[in-house]
Amino acid sequence: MNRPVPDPVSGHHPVEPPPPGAEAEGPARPGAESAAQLLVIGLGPEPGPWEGVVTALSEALGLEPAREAGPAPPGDPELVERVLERAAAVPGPVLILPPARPAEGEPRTARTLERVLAPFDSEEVSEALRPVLDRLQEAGVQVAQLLVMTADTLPPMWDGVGHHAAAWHAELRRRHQVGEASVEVTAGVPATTVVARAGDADLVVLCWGRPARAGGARTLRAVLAAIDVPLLLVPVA
Amino acid sequence: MKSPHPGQVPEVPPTAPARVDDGRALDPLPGDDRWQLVVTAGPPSRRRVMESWLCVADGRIGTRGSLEEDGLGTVPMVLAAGAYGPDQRLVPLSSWVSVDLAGTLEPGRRVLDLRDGTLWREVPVDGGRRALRSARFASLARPGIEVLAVEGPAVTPVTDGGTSGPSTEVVTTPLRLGGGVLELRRTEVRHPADGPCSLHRIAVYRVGTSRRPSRRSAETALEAAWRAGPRALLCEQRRVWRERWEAGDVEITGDGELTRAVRFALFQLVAAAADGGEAAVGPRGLTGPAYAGHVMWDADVFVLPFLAATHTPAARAMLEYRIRRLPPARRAARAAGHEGARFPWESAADGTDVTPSFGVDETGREVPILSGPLEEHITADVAWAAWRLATWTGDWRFLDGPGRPLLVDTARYWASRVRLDGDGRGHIDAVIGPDEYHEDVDDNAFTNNLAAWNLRRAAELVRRTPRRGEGEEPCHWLEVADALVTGYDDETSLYQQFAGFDRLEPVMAASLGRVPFAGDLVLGRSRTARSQLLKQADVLMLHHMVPEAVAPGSLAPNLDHYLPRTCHGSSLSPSIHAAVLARAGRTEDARRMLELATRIDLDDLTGTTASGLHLANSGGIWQAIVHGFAGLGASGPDDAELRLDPHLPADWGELRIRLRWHQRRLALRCTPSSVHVATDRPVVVRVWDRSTLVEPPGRWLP
Repeated sequence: MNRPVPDPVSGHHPVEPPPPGAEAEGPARPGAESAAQLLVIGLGPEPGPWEGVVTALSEALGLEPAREAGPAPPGDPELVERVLERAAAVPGPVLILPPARPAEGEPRTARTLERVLAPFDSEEVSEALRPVLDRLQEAGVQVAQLLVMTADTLPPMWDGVGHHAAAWHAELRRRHQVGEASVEVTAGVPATTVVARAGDADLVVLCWGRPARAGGARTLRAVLAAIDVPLLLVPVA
Repeated sequence: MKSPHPGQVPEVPPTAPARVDDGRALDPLPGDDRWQLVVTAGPPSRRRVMESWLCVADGRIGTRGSLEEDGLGTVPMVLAAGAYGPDQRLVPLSSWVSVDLAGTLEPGRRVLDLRDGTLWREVPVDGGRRALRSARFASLARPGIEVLAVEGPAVTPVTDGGTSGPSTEVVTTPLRLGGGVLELRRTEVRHPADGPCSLHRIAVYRVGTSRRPSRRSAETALEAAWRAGPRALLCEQRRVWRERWEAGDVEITGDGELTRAVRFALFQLVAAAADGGEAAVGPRGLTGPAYAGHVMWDADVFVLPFLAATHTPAARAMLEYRIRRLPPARRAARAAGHEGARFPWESAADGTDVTPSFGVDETGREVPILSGPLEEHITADVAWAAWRLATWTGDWRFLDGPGRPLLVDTARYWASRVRLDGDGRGHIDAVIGPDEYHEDVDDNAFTNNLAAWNLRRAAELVRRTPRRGEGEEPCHWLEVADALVTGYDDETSLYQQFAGFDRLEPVMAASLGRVPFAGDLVLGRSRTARSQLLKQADVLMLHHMVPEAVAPGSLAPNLDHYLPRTCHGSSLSPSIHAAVLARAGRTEDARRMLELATRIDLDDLTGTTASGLHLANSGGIWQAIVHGFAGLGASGPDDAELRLDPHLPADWGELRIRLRWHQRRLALRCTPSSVHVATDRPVVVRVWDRSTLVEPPGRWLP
């Protein structure tokens, strides 16, 4: 919850912390979105099944959707990098719509925005997500915050189950819980866990520090490559 | 208590005048980094941590350092020692520091002055042209009396000019066992035409654990305090805190930051325990609600030694808590089919076991908690605490009197608890040692050896002053103690932590990360239990607590064996390991452990400091310095000499320690090559194996 970068054992950051000076944005591209716009990048053929999500999210955040096609075709090994490059060039959140993959069961069509999964791993991330999650809850969306504990996010000392754990959970909620969101703690590999849990959500909200360094943001890249629900990237303030 | 030979023990440096100027507001002492914790605005998420740091307490009432206006995201709380509600958890009381202030204020700059237990706040308002100032303290001179003064433009005037009040509020809170807490709070607001508004408040809390406290008594105390006024109360406060520091200060010259961190720890110990009646000291003291204020071994083994060596009445009050709960402890032993008294792992108001049966793990999943039925070393820990008090006072009267059952009944418990096998060897099956990563183990070295120690000390006591009905018990106790499996191997000089420990997977902490880390979370509980990874090393804890009872020369090999297996996932671990490392002469490693211990709450290393400070760690810090770095040893009331064996890091200047031993007020100045002992009465001191009679006012040794 508060460990100042210990020796990692096996975990990964869901969010790669920005390097010093990373707040400076790249040069504005022609037609770059304003802060009042929500850049929507569709990675699959239009129209996809996500129109309901796009509309509900845009309304909840008070942003005008600005759509564009993916910067590379589906299956392109450079797709993730190109998407992140594009996302890094806009000032606000970016919504990424994955291709509509054939589901084993009932096909996903016309999904609405009812449930959101919001992974976090630090107070910085929780604070960056707070305004977005507040607005989503105001719009009636259920928000589930998820902490995937790794060696980096474990407290260095853990006096045991019972009193200590109860106090730790209470403080975790005080520091991270946004509104009435549920807060779940689990252990595992963050990317795998987030992708697995995404199936229960209509949208995953991930915080990121842009621009993602080469080799950085491993969790984000892994989630982006595997997820099959819309992904909202929210930059760290 | 005044010294019979005042002036023979140097005064606590730095001294400051114990006076208050005639100005309207209370005046702080001059700034001194070695004595003050200065806190400025931080992230909102840290405010609760700061509230724990900035708690003011007098041993009976603790008030977290919340802002007067109860800012967003804070946990204002007042706790009273022993004031358990129907659910056997400490009851949060109404806050006497709450004040309506105009506008939205920043926390500002706050200073906790360790010298006099005062908390000061200054907040710029009106763009910095003016300031709001407040001061508060819990009166150590009059426990249960709380004082608040606020002055500045943000104080909301009740009337336009003049004075409002004083007005008195009354709050009552019911407790378990028919008791209650009564709070009287008197407030006066002044709004002079030519100055800022000011508010003075004095509150009195009275706690009755088994009956409602007397309203008349509380009113009398309030009237007396109100007549005295905040400034006179502050003078008293400074005098009493000064006495406590003169009796128990520690300073490491040349390292002001470490000195302050150590004093911060000692400050918490002073503030945690009352020095009359009974003192129920929970793992977080009165600084927060975690652990529900339940009394655990933290109190007996970690907190009490400091008080036994610096303020005996407080240690005696802690033991009084145990003495009054002997009847339920005896019932618990009988219920388990044994004799004597079995103290509970966690206790609260009535002395029954209040250890939860289930808790949550890090993911919120419900898991069973086995400490209640299995963590039985608490019974020997209580006996150890009673012996400890007598050891430091050099006075058998407590053990011959009210404290006697704490040794005798616990010995009876162990004598009946031990299972003798066909070869006549004694075993204690199915326990948990301090290293809680391994549950339900047999012949835990810590438990077995401490039980044997308990049996031997009880036999010594009973043989010294036999009582009718005790008959041949001492002989039996000694037989059982001798029969108990110790886990010690003569060939390796190692104690096996418990039966079968050596066959577990030999996981070394360094293979998993840099210590400290929560080993059970990193490795998983199941695998951790099958491995040799330790939360804290039981065998080293044993060496720390009863060094006279372990095999001579066994500390070093057991350090070599167990330290690499220890991840220090317990907040109790670093300080004790600092102590044994220092004793072994490994001063740099010891220093690192000590510094880690001092950061546990200041860096919130457990993620739970917001719910209170780790009081056992505070006590462990003192023990690391006194028993580790100074190498001070004492084994019983009949000790003829005080043993010192300093091992100091090369860059420490002097290690200065004040304490009391066998009715003597001592001030020690330890250097790597010599020790100065100041004393108010003759004392025999053994330094580096050479005994010397030191006459007042003292001398350098050798």
